[in-house]
Amino acid sequence: MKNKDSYKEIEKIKNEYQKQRKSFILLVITLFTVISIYAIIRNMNPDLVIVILIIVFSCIASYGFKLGLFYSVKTGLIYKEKIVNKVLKENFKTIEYNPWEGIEKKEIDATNMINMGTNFHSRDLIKGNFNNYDFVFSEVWIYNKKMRENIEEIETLFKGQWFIIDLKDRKVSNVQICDKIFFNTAMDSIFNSPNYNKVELEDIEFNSKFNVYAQSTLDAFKVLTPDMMLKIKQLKSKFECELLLCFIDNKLHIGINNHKDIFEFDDDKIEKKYIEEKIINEMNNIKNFIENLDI
Amino acid sequence: MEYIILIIILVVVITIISIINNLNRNIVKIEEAASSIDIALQNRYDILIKMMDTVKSYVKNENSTLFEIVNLRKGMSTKEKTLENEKMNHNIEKINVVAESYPELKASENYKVLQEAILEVEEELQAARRMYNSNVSILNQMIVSFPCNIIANMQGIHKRDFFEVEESKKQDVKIEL
Repeated sequence: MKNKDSYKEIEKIKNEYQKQRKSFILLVITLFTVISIYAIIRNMNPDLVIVILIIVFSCIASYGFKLGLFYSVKTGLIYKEKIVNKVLKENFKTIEYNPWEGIEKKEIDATNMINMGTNFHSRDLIKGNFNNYDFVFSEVWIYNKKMRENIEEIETLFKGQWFIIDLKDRKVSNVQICDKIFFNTAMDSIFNSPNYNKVELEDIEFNSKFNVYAQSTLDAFKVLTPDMMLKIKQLKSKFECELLLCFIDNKLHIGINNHKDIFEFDDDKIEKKYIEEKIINEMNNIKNFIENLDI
Repeated sequence: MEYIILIIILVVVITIISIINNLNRNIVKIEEAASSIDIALQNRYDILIKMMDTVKSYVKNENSTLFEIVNLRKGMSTKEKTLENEKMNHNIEKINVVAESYPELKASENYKVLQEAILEVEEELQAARRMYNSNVSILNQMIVSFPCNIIANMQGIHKRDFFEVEESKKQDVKIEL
């Protein structure tokens, strides 16, 4: 199916949803009025009326929720499988996109950089090769689910994009570069581990923005050349968010904590030009960084 | 009143101890970095000797005056290390020039392996140099700032020299593969 048809399909589903939502609201008002009038005429017991209202509205709320969920799932499905996939394939030949897979939790956990919380979600897996670097990329959401006074609370620890770039035969010992304003680090594991030392580099601006921990100070200096530090600073200013970088097992992990899901369907903007520009821009940012990596 | 004086004395003592600890910690870091430089210089020297031998086997008639004598020994000052490093740079530069005139040398497997090895060591040396200079810079800044300068003077701690590499020399040691 052509992209154009996918946009039309989403537009059609959206219109149908809006129609159903209107009828649904009308149904709620009608039911409420009918029950109230009937209760007044028959002089019904108020407790019984409340019980009936609760039962009726529970059924209606459940239906309304399902309606909304069905709409978001259906549009999301078309958006990711047909639109995003096609835009990525057309513009970036060396990548594969799978919207329903993600990076495994254990891979991020192994970096020891982040508090992994109670829940982990990862979707929108992209595998590919830019400038001879194999990489994987995925949306990641790590959060704590807590119950406070019988109310469920969600505390986000990390939400954004995660990259793993294969450095091939380049041997580097573990070096962690953590944004100073990112507070959900796995600090305990760093401080408990005798292998990691805090490293101060010669770049004062870099030191003011990032904490660097390494198993070998010399390796930290080898990896973080002045050019590399400049690229990391540029990356931070480009994304305007918290960055986490980790060299481990000949791979470079990059976490971008921008609290965004870049492949999320935006209900208000179903314009072809806007969506394609957004996807291509995000992917180009990734491509430019990997292409200029030069490790 | 007595308590206040006691507290002031305690604060002064703690400050002095922490400054001395910081200075000593930095000196240890500088020594570690200096040791990394020594190792990298030694490795570079070893590879250079092998490269010079390889070159000499190709350039039999002109080898007597071709290279500068590099003299690495234990306990060298930073200035001496810088000087010897520069001599090594000159020698590598000469090797490059010679290799241009002897295509069979440039194409030899042994020469290629040595070139790769010297690039690796070069990277190691750059990192060690930056680590050393970064620690020297921190120490030198501490030494000139109050009240560290007083304690540093009392402890006989002086400013350290940077391990300098001229920009032109850094370019010279880059060997095209």
